[in-house]
Order: sequence, then structure tokens, then C-alpha cells
Amino acid sequence: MKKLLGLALGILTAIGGFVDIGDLVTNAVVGSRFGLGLVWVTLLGIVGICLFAQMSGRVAAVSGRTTFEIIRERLGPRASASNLAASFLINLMTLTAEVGGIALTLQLASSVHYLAWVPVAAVAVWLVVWRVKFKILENVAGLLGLTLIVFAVALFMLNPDWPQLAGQAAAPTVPEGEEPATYWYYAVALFGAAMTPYEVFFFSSGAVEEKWTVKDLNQSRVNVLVGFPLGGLLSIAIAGCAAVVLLPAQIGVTSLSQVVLPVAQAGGKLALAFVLVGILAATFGAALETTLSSGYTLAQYFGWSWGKFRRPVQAARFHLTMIVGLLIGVAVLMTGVDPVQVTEYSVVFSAIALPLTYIPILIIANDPEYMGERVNGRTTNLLGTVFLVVILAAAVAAVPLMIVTGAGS
Amino acid sequence: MLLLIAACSSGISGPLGKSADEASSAASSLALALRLETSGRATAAVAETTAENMLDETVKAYQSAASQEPSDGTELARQQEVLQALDRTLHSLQAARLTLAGGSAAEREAAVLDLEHQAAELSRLGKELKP
Amino acid sequence: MTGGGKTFDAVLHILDRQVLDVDKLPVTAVDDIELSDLPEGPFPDGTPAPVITNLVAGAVLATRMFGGRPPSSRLKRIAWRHVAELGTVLRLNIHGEDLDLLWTERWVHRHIIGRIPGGSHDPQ
Repeated sequence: MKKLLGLALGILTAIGGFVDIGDLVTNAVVGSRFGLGLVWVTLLGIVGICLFAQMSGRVAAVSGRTTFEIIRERLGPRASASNLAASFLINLMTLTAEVGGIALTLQLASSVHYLAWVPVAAVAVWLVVWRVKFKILENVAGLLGLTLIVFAVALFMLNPDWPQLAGQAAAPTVPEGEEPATYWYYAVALFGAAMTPYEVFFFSSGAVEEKWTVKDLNQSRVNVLVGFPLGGLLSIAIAGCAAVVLLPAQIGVTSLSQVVLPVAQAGGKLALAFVLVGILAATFGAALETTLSSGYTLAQYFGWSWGKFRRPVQAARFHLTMIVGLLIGVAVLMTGVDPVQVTEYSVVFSAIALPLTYIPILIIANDPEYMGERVNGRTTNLLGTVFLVVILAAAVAAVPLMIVTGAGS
Repeated sequence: MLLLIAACSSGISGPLGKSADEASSAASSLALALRLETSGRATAAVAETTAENMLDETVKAYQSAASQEPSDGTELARQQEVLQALDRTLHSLQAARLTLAGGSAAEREAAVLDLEHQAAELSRLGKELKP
Repeated sequence: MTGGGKTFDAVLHILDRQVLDVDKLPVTAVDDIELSDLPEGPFPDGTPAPVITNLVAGAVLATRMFGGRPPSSRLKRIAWRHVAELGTVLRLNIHGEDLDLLWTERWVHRHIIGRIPGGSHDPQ
């Protein structure tokens, strides 16, 4: 019974923890402009993140080593330093977007300007990172994030023309008034949002935080393989709501306030309350994960002491890194830059950085020195290689598409 | 790169059309938010936040349209037309926002209709300007 | 280098590896290694192969990447005799607190993290 509960908890947290500000904004923007015409990208991204999250979890459980330690060992100091610099900066950008997302959600709930909420959000994130146990912070954010299911409920309540939605998803076309380049730009952005690299740093470091062993592998596999696809369905529901309400009204999403309007239309204030709690939990959870990831990546590269399972004084440089990371995020937001735009850029830059994270994982998961007998099987390697091609294509296409489309505008 | 050059050489109607579309979307958004608030489906905080965001959005669209440099009389006339429409929309957005702070039901309804009218007008302009 | 009959490649198996102290607390990554001196000029037959004398960490990482050499006095060393075990990580037989190279960790601990309330408690 206890085992079953643990399993259920794991799956629920994975569902609730899947969506972050990048998924929310990108899916709503895409839904409002292209309907469900990019659902195939979300599906592809879900398969990819399942494959690689599971792989990095296995590497961490079997070898006790995290992604960035191994990246340095295998790529040497110079290549891994540029990898670190890029990964760290993009993670910092995502962190900024998530803190901005918390602040925007609090504005929606209170109508107090989001800039007033930014320092509050950052202090709250820091307090949790400073004092709360890893297991608790992961579970609470994940479970509260489950309230985002209201997007799926709302989609049903809106009583959409299902055959038309299915048609958009099955036979994607570029709508009138949109350029093909813009379509592909958002395809790359959605892919980056679904496969955000910090999820892998967090997942592999989390495995070490929770002292996973080979015995825990089955549980983690179920969490990932059931939880992430269900979380991905939430992403599709977000796009669906926008496609049903905003697309026909010719509303292109540029702010978080527009993202929640379809839910309000479908379910009124109660649904609105649920969606605000859900977005708050999702962005707060992701802010915690990205804050921790900034500490994880740097500490693991330099071999510093790190981890939530230690007291802060036993991982002083790790905690200092996270404090500085949060302060930088706050400083960037305080310039008045639009958090939604930061989010949009962060997912595209994530797409550019995907190979930096995913290629080393694939290599290490095949290295018997770390993995013993638990190296990748043939199917996993085949899938991994196919994804590597997709990841490289997305990364290479990202910058030209960004220039040609003026970042999707 | 070729696409980029093509986009730059097509004059100012592309950017003007984009500004019109953005403002149209903003006016529609606030109209929707106000309708939801009036029918008790959305909170005042959500409607107010939407109003603020959409005003920002439209001001940006206006600035972008105003910064275009017309190269002949036709382009100048087009720019004026768009700027005037954007100006009317800004007025409508502000008026709608005021009704949030204690306008009567009739005033609210009039503001929503006005926003929807502006949105349709801008959308038409946007379509005309985009090739 | 051979140890217990198993051959290790210093570059592949030692450089950039994580170093843990006797309590499994992470200390550093191996930024470089120091070898025993070789005689100048051509080696006469029978010269013993150089052996690893120290693990080095700190500023040496930058010079390993960009070239050059930091002054020997600024190298932070761990004597090879303190290495107890070679695996995917290097285990030491001493406490990290005794090592000079952890001065930054101690400094941040003492002056910043240790001064924030709650820093020395277990997370709840």
C-alpha cells in the first residue's frame, strides 16, 4: 500500500511538475496563432524528454554521478567550460522568466503591479531553497501544479468542434496571415520548451539528492513514462483552450492575462482560482528547480560540495551561487523587461543549447565504466540517435529562424 | 538572409500592418476580459491586469508605427490612417479601463462595443496592408 | 601508471575527476596533476618513469585551458599519498577541512552563508 502511494505520488508530481512558464506561454501563443497545428512538436518533445530524463536518472542512480560532473570528465575542461557557460546563462534566463511568471500570476490575483511582486517572489524562492527539504519542495509544488488540469476541464467545457481541432492537429497547415518561417520558429520554441535542459540537470541531481540506487530505477521509470506524457497533455490542453477561444477572436497571446481568459470563459471564477493556483505552483516549482540547477551546474563542474541534503554551511559556495543567481534574475526583471518576452527567448535559447546537454548524456549512458551492465539497450540508443538528429536540426535552425521572423512577430 | 532583405525592402506597409494587428488583438482581448468580468466569470483583478497589459501593448504598437519613415505620399497617408486608428483604440482602451473603476452597466457595455468596433477596424486595416 | 595490476590512464582516469574526502564530502575536481621531476637533457636508459606527486586544483584550471603556468607557490595541492581509492571518483584518506585548497569554501562559509540565520540547521 505504501509502495503504491509512493508510486502515485511520484507520478502526480511528475505531471504537476512538467509545465513551467515556458510551456504555458509558448503553448498559449502557438494555440492562439496556429491552433493545434503544432501539437506534433509537443508530442515529439514529450517522447524526447521521457527518453533523456529517464537516461540521466539511470546514469545518476547507477553511477552516483550527475550530468555536469560527467560532462566535465568526458569533454575535458575547455569544451565543458563553454558548455557550462552556455548552460548556466540559459538556465539563468529561464530562472528569470520563472520568477517573472510568479510575479505576473500574483498581479493577476491581486492587480498589484508585478514589479512589486518580483522581490517578494525571489525571497520566497530563496527561503524555500534555504530551509525546506528537497522531497517536500518537490512534492508540494508538483501536487499544487496538478490544478492546471483545469485547462483540460475547461477545454471540454468550451464544447469545441472536436473534428475541427483534430483536423488542425492531424493535418497541420500554416494559417492565413502567418509565414511558414514563423510556423517553424514556433516549432523550435515548443520543442525547446518541452525539452528544457534544466529539467535534466535537476532530474539527475535530484536522483543524487534523494540517494537513488538501482532499486529505485523502476519507480523513476514509471514516474517519467506516465507522469511526463500526462503533463504533456496539459500543455496540449493549454494550446487547445487558446485555439478554441482566442484564435477565432484574432487574439494573439502576448501576456499571461490572455492565457487565463479561456479558462474564465469556460468555468468562471472558480476555474480562474484553480488556474491561478496552478500557474503559481508551476512557476514557483520551476523557479526552485532552475535556482537549484544554477547551483548544481556550477558546483558540479568545479567539484564543490553541493546539495539540499547538506546544511547550507556545508555547501557554502553552492548556496552563494543560488543567491547570486536569484539576485541577477531580480535585477534583470527590475529593468522592466517584459517577462513574457524573456520567456519566449529562453525557450528558443534552450532549443539552441539542447545538444550541449543531450549529446554527453547519450555518450555516458553507453559507457560501461560508469554504467556497468546498465548501459543503454539497442532500442534506447536507436531512439536516442534519432532524437539527436532532431535536436541538432532544431538547434541549427533556431538562430536563422529567429532572425528571419524577427523572433516570431 | 534573402527573406530578411525581402522583408526590409517591402516598404513600411508590413510593419504598419503588424502594428494594426497587434492593437486589434489587444482591443479584442480587453473586450473579452470585460465581458467575462461583467458576466461574473472573471475577477476585477484579471480584467484590470488585462487592461494594463493591453494598453502597454498598444502603446508599443503605436510607437512602432510612428517610427516608420514613409518614402512617398501614399505611404505617408497609410501611416496617418494607421496612427489615427491606433489613437482611437488607445482612447477606447483607456475609456474601458475607467469603466472598471465604477462605470454603470450601460457604460461598460458601450465600452465593450466600442473596443470590438476598433478591433474590427484595425483588423481590416491590417489585412489591407499585408501583402 | 600501474596500481594493483590494473592500468590507469592519468588523463582519462584522473584529470577532471571529482575528489571526495574521507567523509565523502566533495572537495574539488582534479584540475591538473604534478609529476616528479625528470632529469634535464636526453634520458639515460633505466631512468625511472615519472610518478604523480600531487593533485592540483584552483587557478591552474584557467592556465590549463588558455595556456601558461601559474607560479608554483600559488598551486593548491593534494599530496598523492592522500589518495586512498581510484574509481569514477577519487577518495582521500583525510578531511577536506585540513586542505588549503578549500579556503574559498571556508571563506564563503564564514563570511556569508554562516551569517545568514538558519544556515547551520538541517533543512526541514
